[in-house]
Amino acid sequence: MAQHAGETIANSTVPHGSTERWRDPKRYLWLIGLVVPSLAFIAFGMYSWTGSGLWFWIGPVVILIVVPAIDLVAGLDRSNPPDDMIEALENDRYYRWITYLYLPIQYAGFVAAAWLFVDGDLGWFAKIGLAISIGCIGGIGINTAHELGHKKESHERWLSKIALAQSFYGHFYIEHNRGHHVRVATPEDPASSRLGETFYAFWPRTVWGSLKSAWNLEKKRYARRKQHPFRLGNDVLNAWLMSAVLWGALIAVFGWELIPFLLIQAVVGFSLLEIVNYMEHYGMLRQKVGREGRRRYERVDPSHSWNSNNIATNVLLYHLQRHSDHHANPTRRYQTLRDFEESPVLPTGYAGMIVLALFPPLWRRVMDPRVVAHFDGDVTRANIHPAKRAKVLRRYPAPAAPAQEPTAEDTAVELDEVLAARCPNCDYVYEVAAGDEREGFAAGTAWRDIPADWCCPDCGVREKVDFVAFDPDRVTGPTDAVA
Amino acid sequence: MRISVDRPRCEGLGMCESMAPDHFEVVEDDAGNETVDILVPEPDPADRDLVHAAVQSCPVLALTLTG
Repeated sequence: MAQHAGETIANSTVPHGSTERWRDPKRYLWLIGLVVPSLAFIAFGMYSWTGSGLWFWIGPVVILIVVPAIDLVAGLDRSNPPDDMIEALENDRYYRWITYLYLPIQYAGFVAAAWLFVDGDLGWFAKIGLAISIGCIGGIGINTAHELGHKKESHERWLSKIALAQSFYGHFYIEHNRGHHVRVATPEDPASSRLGETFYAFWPRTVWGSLKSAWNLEKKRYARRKQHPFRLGNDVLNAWLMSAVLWGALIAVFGWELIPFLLIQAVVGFSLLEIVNYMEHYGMLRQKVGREGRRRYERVDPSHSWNSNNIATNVLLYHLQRHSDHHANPTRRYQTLRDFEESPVLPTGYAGMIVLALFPPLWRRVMDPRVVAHFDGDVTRANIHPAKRAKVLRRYPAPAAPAQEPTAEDTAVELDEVLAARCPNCDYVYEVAAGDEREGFAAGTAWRDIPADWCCPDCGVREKVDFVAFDPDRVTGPTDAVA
Repeated sequence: MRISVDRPRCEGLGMCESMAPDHFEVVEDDAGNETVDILVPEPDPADRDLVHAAVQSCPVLALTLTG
């Protein structure tokens, strides 16, 4: 195919000019990703050499301390592959074999750890460390599964499900591709975190929301064929079955004492994935566009994901931090993902940000001002956690006077004189003169007398505080009729 | 250049529409299921990059671009 420079690279930092004899500077660095599943064996080796159970804590120590420290020292890598090398780089099978190799090492460590947990004569401190470390490897394995699950080759999609089996998170593969990628950076996406939402509030919402979403997607797929969803072809069920068989076989071999190990490593594994999910789109919001009656979210662009060029985490997570390009081109392989200059950038790598996310006040202090700055000081353009909305708006008041002549829709009207307000989601209009009898507001009920927690009666998505006030007499146009 | 859709695969998820709204629109078929309506089956070659990106983004691989 001919090169179509211009459109796809206009925003990248790809250097122009000759690309002859270009070699990928990270080609061999990607092998470092295999250090993660190998950590289990480093722990086994060091334990048998030193006798110290502390070595079984290697997983969290590496992820929360060692990698963030390397990120701070090793710095940034902003290099992009030249455009005319991308196809060759994409087709180079060397890169995909590195991701495939993660799996046998991951599972060898998993089974060996299961044996050690039950028969290894370890103290409880060492046992907990071992389960957590194996969970960390399984969690980073979900990232490997993520890379594989986006590919068109069916064997890679199967490998993705196998990688997820350890953490019992096989439904992620469905929800991520067909749910998250479609709804990313919108209030409807369980896997996009909101401004003001702590990781601990996000965790149950995303864990439960993703599970429900995956199940509903598969149920709907079968409903189209007028079939019930309880069959082996259901990708949620067959992925869970794979986990059930794996866990069942291990329990059959090692006994019931293995159950705490399985549970701890699974929760740690998928929590590690979810904490990374938490930072990828924190506060980001796609605006609604399109004609009346057919409102949709604007297309995903680089400004909807948080990125990082810290090389240590990037090498360990297969360029996951070049998240904007990933969302723009979901099937693109990791080695060809590019840095976009206009993407919002995190202050350090995902590994370091995990540490911050565990301490919400610290996270808020570092991230909230960045979200506000990203939206040019206008926090109302962010995806705000509804429960924290009032607090966030108080903390980051909207800019007093916009520089340009405001449009009718943007005009901020003093609360006392609000005569009408429109839901930004569905364009339902509340007009003071008319009231809304269905909602129990008599004609003439002032906007300030509408309860703060009142929700839009049409879409049920937005609350009073989201409504855009406007002057009904100044607005013309056929679509602005009172609902 | 022609866009085609594997109808039974399409789930009407709307990824293509969010990428290229002038070329794709999710509509309801006769049975009430959401599915894609290809508004411009033979797009302008000038839109190739955009349409290609939209086709590539389909999570269920229901879209193909030929020619």
